[in-house]
Amino acid sequence: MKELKEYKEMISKCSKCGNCQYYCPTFKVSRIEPFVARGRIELVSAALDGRIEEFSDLFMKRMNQCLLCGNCSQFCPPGVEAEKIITAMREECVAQKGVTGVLKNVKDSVAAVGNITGDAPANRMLWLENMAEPLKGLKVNEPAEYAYLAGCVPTLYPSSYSIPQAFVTILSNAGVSFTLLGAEEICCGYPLLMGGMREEAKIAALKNINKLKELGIKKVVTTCPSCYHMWKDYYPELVETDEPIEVVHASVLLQELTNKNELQFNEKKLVVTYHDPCDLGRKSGIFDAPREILTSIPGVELREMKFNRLSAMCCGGGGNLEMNDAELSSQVAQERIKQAINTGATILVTSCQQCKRTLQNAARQMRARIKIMELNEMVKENLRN
Amino acid sequence: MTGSISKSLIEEISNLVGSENVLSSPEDLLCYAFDAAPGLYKSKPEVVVSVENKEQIIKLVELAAANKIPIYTRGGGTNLSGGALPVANGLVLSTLKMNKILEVDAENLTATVEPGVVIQDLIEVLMPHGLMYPPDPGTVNTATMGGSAAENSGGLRGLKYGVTKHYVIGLEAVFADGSIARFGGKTVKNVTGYDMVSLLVGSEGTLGIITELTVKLIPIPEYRRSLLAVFMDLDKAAQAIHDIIANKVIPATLEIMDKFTVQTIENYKKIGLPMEAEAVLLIELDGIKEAALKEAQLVEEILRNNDASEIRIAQTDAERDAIWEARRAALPALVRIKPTTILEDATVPRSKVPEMIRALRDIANKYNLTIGTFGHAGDGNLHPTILTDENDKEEMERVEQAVEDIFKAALELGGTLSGEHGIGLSKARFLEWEMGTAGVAILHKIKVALDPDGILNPGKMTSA
Repeated sequence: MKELKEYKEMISKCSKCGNCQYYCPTFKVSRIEPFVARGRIELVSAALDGRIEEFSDLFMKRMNQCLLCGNCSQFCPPGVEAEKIITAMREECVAQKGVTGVLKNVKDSVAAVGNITGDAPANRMLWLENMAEPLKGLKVNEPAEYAYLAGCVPTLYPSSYSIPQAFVTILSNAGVSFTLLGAEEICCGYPLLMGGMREEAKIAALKNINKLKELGIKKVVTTCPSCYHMWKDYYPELVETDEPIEVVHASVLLQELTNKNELQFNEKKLVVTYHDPCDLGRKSGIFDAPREILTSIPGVELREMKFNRLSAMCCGGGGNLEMNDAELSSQVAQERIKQAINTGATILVTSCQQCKRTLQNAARQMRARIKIMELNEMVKENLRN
Repeated sequence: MTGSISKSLIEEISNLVGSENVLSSPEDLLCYAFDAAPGLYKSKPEVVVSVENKEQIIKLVELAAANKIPIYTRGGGTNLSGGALPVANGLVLSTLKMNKILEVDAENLTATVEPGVVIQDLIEVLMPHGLMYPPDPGTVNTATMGGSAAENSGGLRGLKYGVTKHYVIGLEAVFADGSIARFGGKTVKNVTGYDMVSLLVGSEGTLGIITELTVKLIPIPEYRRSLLAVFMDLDKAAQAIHDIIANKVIPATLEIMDKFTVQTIENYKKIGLPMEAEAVLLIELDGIKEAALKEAQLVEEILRNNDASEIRIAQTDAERDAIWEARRAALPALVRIKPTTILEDATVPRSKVPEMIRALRDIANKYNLTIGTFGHAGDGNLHPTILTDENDKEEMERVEQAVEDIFKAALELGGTLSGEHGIGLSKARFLEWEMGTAGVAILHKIKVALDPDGILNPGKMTSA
């Protein structure tokens, strides 16, 4: 992660060709220039040159309306990475103006209770207590091969409980050695980092790494693509450590189990489409594992949306947009739902709790007849035995 | 064009189109001070208005006319000659929210669309009908139908299929007095009155605001065959182009890339293009399978007879994509080298392509500039691409002189200033070189007759 001034050359390379319009989710739904990379980059450039008032409320709002999904930069002719420039600008905004709005609450609650919602830490265990068929012998804060980090949203939003519930069931059935951190799990720091709070994110990273060291655990598995991306790509930068912790995304672990025939499925005639979460697909390069799992369920036909893999459109939940501009976030989600419906699929599967939430809300608002499922839910539902 | 927009006028506009369709903060206006044309000065509009229907356009023009406010109509803003740029005050009228495909008439082979429809969106809607709209500018994913008609855009298929003006057969437009009129229609033949459709296509938003277009469609060719040929001698490549056409073969696409472009692509993508090649030709034949294959065979022979050192013929879709990846990579590869890329489109008669390429090389040497040339060899439309840095004042002066020399060279060879990017701001001052004083005066008279107060896209083309 570089600082804003280190991006000056990249900023000057934006040729304003407008290619980003084709890939930018917020442009697709707004069709105005301040909502697309070339407009945002012009704003950053103007702020650096003193051509506009720096850090005005509207300027900061425009910076916060980017999903940081990185779709445009994959296809940018001169290779400008808008999401990195805007993240650096957000950091600069925080340095100048402090943390404002909803993000302030997030910052305070992560500092106070270690999660983004402000819930009491003990509430992190509610999803486990709420399981219809409680699992026996689950480890909490004990040595194991993996620590399963369930993440803030799945453990604190009741509509997402089914994700960790499904995952621990699958892992237990397959005999994988893992422990939960329970009430002691804390936020990975990613929303802070994307909100321009590098120092606060660093503190979270350090706490998380120390916690695992304490337990003597060297491998982390998570169902959350953002935790995964944070641990894998940002932790090594934020915290110097001689013993890096290996991080695995749930979909990759599930793919391994499927390949070893540890997971077997009932046949089901279904047409599904798969939504790539930005942090798992574009940012981490994991495109095949979830698809291979889905197509290993006999009878499942996978139909791709027009924008998939590298060009997969963000669900609308990236870059803290849901906190910063809920309406814009919902418009993006609804656009993605339309793309899913166009495939003729009856189920949209994704491997991210945030994507599931935003897409499900959008489908509900649109009265769309398409079911949204997270990969682990889909796997568990179709497991044989 | 002296009027400026008062607060109360902005309020009136907000009442007309809804406040969500009006942008007037300095931050947002800054995002409309550019289009895709490099090196031009940046002037903010006073307000940006996204219109949703033609009734709003009529009322907006009436308001602008009464207050003498300039209107800069803008689609995707992908223009390469500054056609969508505000030059002083005024109002940007964005058509991007008028993006409905109104009708696909498969029986009459036409489609009728609103101006804000993105070209690629139309192409995709036509596919299930087995139909296509051939103009395919490089910005097909982002450019709008209205914008590309106003600029008369070209693309890679010009040689066989022509350009935008060959497909727009009906138009509706709002004029500077707020009147709305429709010209042409769904018929291929139409000689009623002046050919106003042709006048408006390529008028760069200076005569009227397009509110609806009817375009001609053609069946998608059933078969395509792509070839790539490498030449160690530019003249031999040129001779091959000549021989292909002389043998009555009209490829859908016939592209050339010069040595510098080939080397830049290879450095960027590593697709296995020979670094020592003087020129690479990329060719696509399409049509009925037997015909396309027969033509491809003939083309292959011609390439061999002209000592092509390597010929690749795509046997599969993947191989075809690999060939065109090389061409698609040309601009992205070139723009990575320097901060500013000046992409020109001076065009010459096909037979003069080798002379033009040599002239471009001389110009690059004379002014000590980096120029990569690629483009549509089949229709003589080359893209000399100057790689520079707009902050380097001294070099930019040399760039300006080089650009003038490029235009002079094209005109001396019997060509034109612009094959497909338009005149806009960047070439307005050269218009006389091609049209003469009398020619420019005629353009001026037409402009004044239709827009006496000069409120429609002022400063562009005729500078009125």
